[in-house]
Amino acid sequence: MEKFFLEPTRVTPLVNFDPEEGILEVKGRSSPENSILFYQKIIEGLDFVLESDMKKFTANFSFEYFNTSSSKCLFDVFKRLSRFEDSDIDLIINWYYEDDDEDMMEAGEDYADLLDLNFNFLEIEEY
Amino acid sequence: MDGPTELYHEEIRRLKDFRAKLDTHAIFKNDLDDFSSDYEELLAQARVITRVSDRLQKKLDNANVQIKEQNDQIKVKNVELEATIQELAKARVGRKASTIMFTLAIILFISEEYFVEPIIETFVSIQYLGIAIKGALALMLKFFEGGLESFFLNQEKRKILKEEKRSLSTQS
Repeated sequence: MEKFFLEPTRVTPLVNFDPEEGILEVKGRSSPENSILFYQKIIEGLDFVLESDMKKFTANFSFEYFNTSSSKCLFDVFKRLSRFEDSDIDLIINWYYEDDDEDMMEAGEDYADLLDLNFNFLEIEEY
Repeated sequence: MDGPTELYHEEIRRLKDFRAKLDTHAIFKNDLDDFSSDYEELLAQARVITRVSDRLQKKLDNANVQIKEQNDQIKVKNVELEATIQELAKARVGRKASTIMFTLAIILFISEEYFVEPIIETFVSIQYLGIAIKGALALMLKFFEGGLESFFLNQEKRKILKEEKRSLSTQS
């Protein structure tokens, strides 16, 4: 699978996915018209990584806002990532949030708790 | 691109599978276990998604309140700015308008005295007509003064706003 990069828009986040390097970066606002379609490519990419012989995978999430359907799609993304922990892949999930944005930090905590994933919570000054 | 087109497609697929099994009456304890696990997971999902969604809704509400407050502040600042511009423009045009009015008044009164008065004396024998004409001229000048001031004021305001825009664009 080839790497892909999506420029951010007013309603979609920046996506940088390099399956060969083992890097996924999602950054910005997410309220696409069709969340399923938007996140499907990421989920397919994660399935590809899961079947490869990759040893390390880093996922960076940095959201300013995401809507309800995106939150379901993100759940599906994290569920895929949780399967990495059952395999030999060393998984790192970084959850970035703005320094005064407790709501976004707690949203990350909710996902981590539900799927029993280890998130690194990292404060940033500004998106 | 082929693929799922709706949210919860995986959960819907599992429900359909279970219902298909129900129709065949071949339900085993394992199937019920799987179904209850799926249901449990779906509940957990619903709980977390609702919580996350509520948090972000709160964030959005706070942002909207902030925007509203900032808009109110901008409105107040705009009124203040308008008043300041008005005062500044008035101060700048006041002297200009007075000078023009004074000059015009002198020209009109002298003209009246030198050109109109002799005609009145020669051709019309109405008493106090000269004074009446001078009075009419004074009234006309008063109206003209108002028009002239508002014309200069608008011109000056545009000039001030242009200067303000220029200084803002050089700052950024």
